[in-house]
Amino acid sequence: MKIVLLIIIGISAGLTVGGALAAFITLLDFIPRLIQLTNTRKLIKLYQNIFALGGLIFSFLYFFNYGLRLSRIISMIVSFIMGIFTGLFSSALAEVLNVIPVLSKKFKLKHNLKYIVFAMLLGKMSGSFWYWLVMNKR
Amino acid sequence: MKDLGEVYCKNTSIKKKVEETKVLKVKSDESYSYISGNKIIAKILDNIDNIDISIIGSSDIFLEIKGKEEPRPLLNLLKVLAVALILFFGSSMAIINFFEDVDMKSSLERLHYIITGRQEKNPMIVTIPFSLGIGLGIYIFFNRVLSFSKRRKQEPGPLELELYIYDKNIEDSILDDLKKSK
Repeated sequence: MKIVLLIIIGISAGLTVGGALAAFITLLDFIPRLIQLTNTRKLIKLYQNIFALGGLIFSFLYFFNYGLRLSRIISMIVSFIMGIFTGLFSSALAEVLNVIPVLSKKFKLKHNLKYIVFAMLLGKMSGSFWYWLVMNKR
Repeated sequence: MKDLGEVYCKNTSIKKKVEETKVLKVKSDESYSYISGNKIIAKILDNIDNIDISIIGSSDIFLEIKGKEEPRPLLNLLKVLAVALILFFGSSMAIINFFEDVDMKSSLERLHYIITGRQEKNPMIVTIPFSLGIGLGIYIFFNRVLSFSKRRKQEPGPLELELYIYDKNIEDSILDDLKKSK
């Protein structure tokens, strides 16, 4: 009896978390941006399925505590791709997309927008490097 | 009238008369103002009678009266520098706080273990490509890489779209205020 209850609780918890993640990603509008960049509108179902599949596979791998003995180069490639995702997703947040228009209007900087975006890009990258290579030495 | 829109009429003398109609005289101090469609029709009919007028498109005209702006390169450079500094340090702080918040350290170490089976503290093979990837991801989001069609290079990116929406909202709100107060 306890087993059935635990299974039900597990499934519903997973559904909630998965739904929350999917809603968050949909809200941010950055998959549409990727589709616009690559002009592959028809493949949106494929992208949805890949997203769900990635969550599923890594969720299993995470909990089973098993290390696949792949080479370190694959680790490097996977973390590079994860970094690209983090960059995409953190620039689609409202904190970026609403702050920069307000700043550029107040300071009247519409023509120099690319320098500002570049400053933000370098800031995020160097913040990340600083965190991993300097702040974590203790 | 010819500054406000295009006039079409088969009869060229009527067309010229309509185009030369004065609609509004503006004082030279900077302000916002608007011209309603009714005023335009009234002024044209004052000038010329016995014609039919149809206005196509939106009939309200929103005016922004500003003085001549001289280009000041030094001030511009200082402004760009100030905003760039704010965004540089601000976004590094945002990223550092995000990593601390979600405990990125242990999840990356866990990822490294999942893929290679080795337990390493602070694995540089994971963290350095991750940071490089962040930069590349932000760049891809805002610009276009690898696109060969000229038309697609001119599409507005997300930032330009947000600027447009913000400007449009401001103008709509000022127009509504003017209409209510008149």
